[in-house]
Amino acid sequence: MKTSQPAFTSLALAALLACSVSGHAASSACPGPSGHGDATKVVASVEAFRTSLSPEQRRVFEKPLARTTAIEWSNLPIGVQPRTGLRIGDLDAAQAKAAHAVVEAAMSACGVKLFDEVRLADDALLPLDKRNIGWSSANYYLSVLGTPGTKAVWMLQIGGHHLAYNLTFNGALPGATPLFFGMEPLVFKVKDAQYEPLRPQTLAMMNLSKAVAGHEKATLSGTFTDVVKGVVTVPGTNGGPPRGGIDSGYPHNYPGGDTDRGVRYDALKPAEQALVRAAIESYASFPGESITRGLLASYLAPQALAATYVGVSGVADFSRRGSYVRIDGPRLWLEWIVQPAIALPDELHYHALWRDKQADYGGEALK
Amino acid sequence: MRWLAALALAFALVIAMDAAWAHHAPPSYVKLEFGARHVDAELLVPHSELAYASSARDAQALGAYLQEHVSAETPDGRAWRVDIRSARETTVGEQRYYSAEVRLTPPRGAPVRELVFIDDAVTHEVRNHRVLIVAKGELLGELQYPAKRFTIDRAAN
Repeated sequence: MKTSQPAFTSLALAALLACSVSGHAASSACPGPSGHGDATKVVASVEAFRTSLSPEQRRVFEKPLARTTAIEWSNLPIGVQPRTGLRIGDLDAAQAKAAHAVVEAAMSACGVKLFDEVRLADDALLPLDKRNIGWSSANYYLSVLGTPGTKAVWMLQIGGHHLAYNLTFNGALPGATPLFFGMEPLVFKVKDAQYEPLRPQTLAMMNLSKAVAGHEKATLSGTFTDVVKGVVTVPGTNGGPPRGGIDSGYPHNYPGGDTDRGVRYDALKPAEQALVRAAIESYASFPGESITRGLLASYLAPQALAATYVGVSGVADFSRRGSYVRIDGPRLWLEWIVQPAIALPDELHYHALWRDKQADYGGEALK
Repeated sequence: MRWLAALALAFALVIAMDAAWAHHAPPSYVKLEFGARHVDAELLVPHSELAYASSARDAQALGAYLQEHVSAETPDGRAWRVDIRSARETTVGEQRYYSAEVRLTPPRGAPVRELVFIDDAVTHEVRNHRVLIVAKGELLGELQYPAKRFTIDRAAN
């Protein structure tokens, strides 16, 4: 396993954040529409990054677009699930800057901030990594699937432990999903700056959970120990060790009908309905607005909202493992789970997943 | 238990993979071996997830639990015989499992390589839990709530 440090060291990354985004995750608002996620700008940034790479690096960076390559993302550290793609820790300073520009072109300010801060969280775990599990800001990867352009379909994948951005451009449908994010530790300090990267999403889902807890239909049956539609740990071939886990369960089956899906949006009070919309928007705040504009319009359309369910399990204040929230609409599938932490077992950590029942991988990974 | 032994050996050799078992929601595994007259299934059920679904804390109780939650039938609905031949606790990597050997025998005249495998152990309670079904090192598929029936046709294999 590679463990060398990236061109942006943890402290340098923290210093950059302190200047650019205040270094405190309590801020929740992303800037308004600004062209982030616009395919033309993303393609230009990818091309600029590509020209900075050696031929060998380009071969690692570029993959064919197929189901087998698209589903390779994971939420596990690389010691558990090795990644393909170009490792940020292997880039020189100029290449790292160009790579960050790709993230900035594709994602919103919130999405960039999460990309930076989830890596800081990994670095906070580094001293606890006694098993070479691979927590490190260096162990995040970039890939393009297909040929970046403004007409043919292609994907940009950015991810590592606790982060998977899967963006599809020019696909049958606008594709921001699957989008996985998680966090451990939930709150941490780098030098004097305190970070709580998922505070906006935590509050959005917690407020929603508390608000709907009084509705009898909101409580889902069963127990939850992770997100339901996440990656699958699979057995190794020929009796070999199990492999970490990728999205091999795709395409997924989703619940139908009206049973055990939670309370319907149209049965909620207006203030509770507002919390549903806020929760949806908190997840959708990460990709560039050009990508999410159409998706949000679909999710928040009155007919779609009317057929959207909110289901909960566990305790509403997220103080215990197994606390779970799900928003399940005609297209939308959002999950939030509280798990015990890995590095610090007495603490908790979060996993969250956004799927689109129609537009995961832009609807292009079924072939 | 050859599969389990191979798993244990591989884990001893691949230290980094230990971390896989620190994952807090491990799936169950079912390995099927097709014989001339019956199918032998080796089940690995993670201790951590079973604890949410059953109060079984020893091999005898586990056997009774599996008898209730694992079965098989022909595609036209005739029940297979299910024998829980052994059940014990084991550790693979960092993860504690219950392992069980189950023999599945088709009704008289029914082909041994065509069956509906039925398993809702753990999945009847834990909504994210998956049961991964394997034969000859190949992942045939998975079961996750509410699905508990998996149709298998290995006539050509």
